Amino acid sequence: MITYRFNPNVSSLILEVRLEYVYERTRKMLFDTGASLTVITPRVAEELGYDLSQLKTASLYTASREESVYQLNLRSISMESGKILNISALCMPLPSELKIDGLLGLNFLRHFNINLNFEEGILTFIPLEKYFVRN
Amino acid sequence: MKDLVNVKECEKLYPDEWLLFEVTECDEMNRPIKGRLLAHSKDRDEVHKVAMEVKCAHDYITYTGEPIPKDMAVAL
Repeated sequence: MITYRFNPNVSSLILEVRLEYVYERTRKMLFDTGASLTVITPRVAEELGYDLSQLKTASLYTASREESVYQLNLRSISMESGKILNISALCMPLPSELKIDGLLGLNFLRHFNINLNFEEGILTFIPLEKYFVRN
Repeated sequence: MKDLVNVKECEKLYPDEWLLFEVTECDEMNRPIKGRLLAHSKDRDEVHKVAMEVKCAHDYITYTGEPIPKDMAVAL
């Protein structure tokens, strides 16, 4: 079980995860159950070793508009004691006011049973063993 | 070569900045605990430039202030 403590009054939950492609990069990402897919910024994609000019594009539908974004596949996303392999992600800029490097969306989160305990400020991830590769 | 530092202690020295570390040691839960501070700046792009030049095997970039402004609501 992976446990994070958080302030129940904060407006968002930020988690530290390790992303892997060519290089390993530990970055802070927003826990976002409203995002279908995981998102990283173009800067992080380049830092991981992606060549943006070689990536395919996809249409993204947000609450207010449609836009074109890059598609990529991360080798893994690690969270404390293990990792989930082969996670698809979109690559798009986030507002500069947000000091985060991406969003952890449902395509990553669905590999866990997740409990958000607002009374005690505890977020727990119970990995689904068939997907979770332990370190 | 830059000195090894304790990551959490170093973060306290640079409030409201982006920090780039080369990670040399993680704890048992894989969180970076020791490394070399390669860059710090108010501007994420400045840190990105250094990360792209150095390209170490494992780096850690963090912002030491509030990641989302208190007066800002987020709907992504």
